[in-house]
Amino acid sequence: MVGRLAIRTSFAFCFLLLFHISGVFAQTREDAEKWLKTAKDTLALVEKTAGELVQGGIENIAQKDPAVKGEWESAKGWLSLAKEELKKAEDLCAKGKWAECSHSANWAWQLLVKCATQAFNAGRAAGLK
Amino acid sequence: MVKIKKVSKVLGGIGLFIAGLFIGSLILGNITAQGPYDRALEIAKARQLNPDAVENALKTYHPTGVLDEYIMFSSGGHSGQVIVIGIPSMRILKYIAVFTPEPWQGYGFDAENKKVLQGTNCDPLRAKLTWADTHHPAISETNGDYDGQFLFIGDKANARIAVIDLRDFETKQIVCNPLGYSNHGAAFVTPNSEYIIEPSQYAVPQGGAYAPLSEYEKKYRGFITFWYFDRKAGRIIPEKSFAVEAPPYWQDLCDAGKLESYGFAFCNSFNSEMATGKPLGSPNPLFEVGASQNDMDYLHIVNWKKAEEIVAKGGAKEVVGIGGFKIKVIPLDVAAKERILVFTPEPKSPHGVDVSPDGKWIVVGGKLDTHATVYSIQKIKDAIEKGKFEGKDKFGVPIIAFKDSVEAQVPIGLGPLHTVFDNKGFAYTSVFIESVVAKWKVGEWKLYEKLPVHYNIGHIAAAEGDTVSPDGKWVVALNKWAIDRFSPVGPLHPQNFQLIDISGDKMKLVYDMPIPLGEPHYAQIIKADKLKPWTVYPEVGWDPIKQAKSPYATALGKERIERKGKTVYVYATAIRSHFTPEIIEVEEGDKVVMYITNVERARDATHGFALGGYNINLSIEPGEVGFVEFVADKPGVFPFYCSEFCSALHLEMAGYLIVKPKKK
Repeated sequence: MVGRLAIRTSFAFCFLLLFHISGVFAQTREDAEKWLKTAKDTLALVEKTAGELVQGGIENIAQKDPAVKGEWESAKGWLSLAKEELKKAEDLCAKGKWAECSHSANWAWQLLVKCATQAFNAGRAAGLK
Repeated sequence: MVKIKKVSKVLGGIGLFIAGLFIGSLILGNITAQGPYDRALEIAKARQLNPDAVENALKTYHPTGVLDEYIMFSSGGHSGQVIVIGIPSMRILKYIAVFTPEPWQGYGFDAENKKVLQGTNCDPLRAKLTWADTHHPAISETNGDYDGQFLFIGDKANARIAVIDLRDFETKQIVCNPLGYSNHGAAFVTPNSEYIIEPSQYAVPQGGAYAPLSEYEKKYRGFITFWYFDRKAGRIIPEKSFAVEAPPYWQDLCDAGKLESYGFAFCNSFNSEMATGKPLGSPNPLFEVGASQNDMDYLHIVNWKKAEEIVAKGGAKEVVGIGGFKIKVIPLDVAAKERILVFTPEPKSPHGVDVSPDGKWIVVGGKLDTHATVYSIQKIKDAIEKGKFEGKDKFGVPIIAFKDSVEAQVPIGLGPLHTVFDNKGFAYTSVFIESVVAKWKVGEWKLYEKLPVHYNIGHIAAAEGDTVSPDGKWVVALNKWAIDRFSPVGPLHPQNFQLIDISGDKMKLVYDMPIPLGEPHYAQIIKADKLKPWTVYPEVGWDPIKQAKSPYATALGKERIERKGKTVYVYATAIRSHFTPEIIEVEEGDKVVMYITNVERARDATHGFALGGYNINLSIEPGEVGFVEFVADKPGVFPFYCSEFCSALHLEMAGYLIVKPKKK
């Protein structure tokens, strides 16, 4: 129960931090760096949450429950794609390609949102969330 | 003597023992005899149901003949239909055929309702459609309350709106929007159903014209249409309707203001970036990236009362749109100049917009945000009145600063979407990513509770929840994914409607209902006693499209066949258990026009009319006149029969259409 509350609270808190209201952005360096930070912070949060689900026993539950397995495997798949995209974004930013970096980091973040959605479902189906 | 005393003692002891046994058996017998609820408890125990589960079962179960307190009208998604569900039993009562032919109801097969399906003002492309993506039903309102007279619903895929008459739960009209091909926030109604609101979604060049994507900003436009509804006629009048031109920001959901916000409508948008997608090989970002770059999009605030006045004064231009059909449009520059259209920022690719029962607050769910953002109508009105804007967008639309319009942001979780209200000042917001319903207090702006749902809730419906006086009691979570809730039925899973009891301090999940008919989006829940549907048509010989006596009604004994040149008119009756006439003889190539009057007066005494080989099936309810016309272009003998089980001799309720070959 405390674990579930902690997972939800930490997720919500980090998402709150990530999205301050700041108006419309142009495709600038500032925009790109903001998106990169957003994606990296979200990755850290997602990995922490995934770790908590693993500690809660989700891998074992997934072996026995095909519904949990489907959601969990999907979450891991999205996470893998997100990490690849984030690496690509970092490379683009390093080269000063701000618009491409911004889009790539945004995409990495979108992949993490999909990961989070599946992870929540996996945890819920496993009785952990 | 001593021996006798001993024997007496023993006998006495035995007697006492036997008496004790007897009394004991009486007492024990009463304890172990089955009480009225013992059997129920045994069943609960055998099924391993805990007390909560038993309580939930008791809340939804309805004994035979007991009716539901509420009726829910849900979109039927891709089925193109509307689903009618009793609350709290969650029993499906009807599928109303709207945009899709439905053979059991004879919808799309009767000559009159075929015309309904083709639309009032639909271009040839849309007149032939046989599916729809129905989204948001709206019950007609009077003074901001559901009045139970009509239901409206939109087709997102093809920008159409349907009108359903709730006297007989049948579709009477479909209109096509001449300005574009997609809508989303449709339908929503103004508080007296003066207008049915339909915003576009995916911007296109206005009126169905062509323009390349490179001209997106210059030529592509959205629209927010206000369809005028004539309640007496029960029809939308396109000639009295108008649209407000909008930037190509992909408008989304809408809600009409009420009470304090009466006269305004509010619509989300989520592509203020004006992203145009990623052609193959292009460096452009995908839509889901390009359309979510900005932290804020624009809440569209439309003063429809003022728009109405501008139209009346000739301030709108007449646009000839798709199929050559016309509609009055207030151009974007006029809308901006007259402050008919004003923006305020809304967070992060928002999705839902919902006005509180008192009309004071407008709640927006930013689907990639974590808040329910609450705007104040008073602040918005003040800003417009004083001309207090922080600037204009590219199209000249004034923008009220976020700080000047927002009242509060309630942190509620990941992926908030839609909000409904109860009668105790609480709001209930669906939270998609986290799969919860979040309950928070209006005015306090404080989160009270989150209830997990299964899974990925989209819309949420509450009893009388969109009105000025919600009832509380029930909320239904319209979940997108069912995953593991039901027996597997292949890769395509049903949706999951979950009934939630909100009558107590804590929300309680009561029931799961699979919906295996398209993806419903929204639903509205009305008190059942507000609906006054007919159980038979008011008179024998009724035309359900005109809702009046049909000139082609046929009384018993007045049946006839009349030939006028190459057209044969059949005036028939249907009654248990025969059609009159039973034998119809025509010549190959004749046009056959049949009017079949169901002369029954008993409830449920519906007759079907199925004609083999001609793709015809009618459903003729008691009192109704069914109307079918076709060309008998195939010689032969074609049986027809009653296709709705009606009586003991239902099988004998049949006849023959005899088509004599042409003389060579």
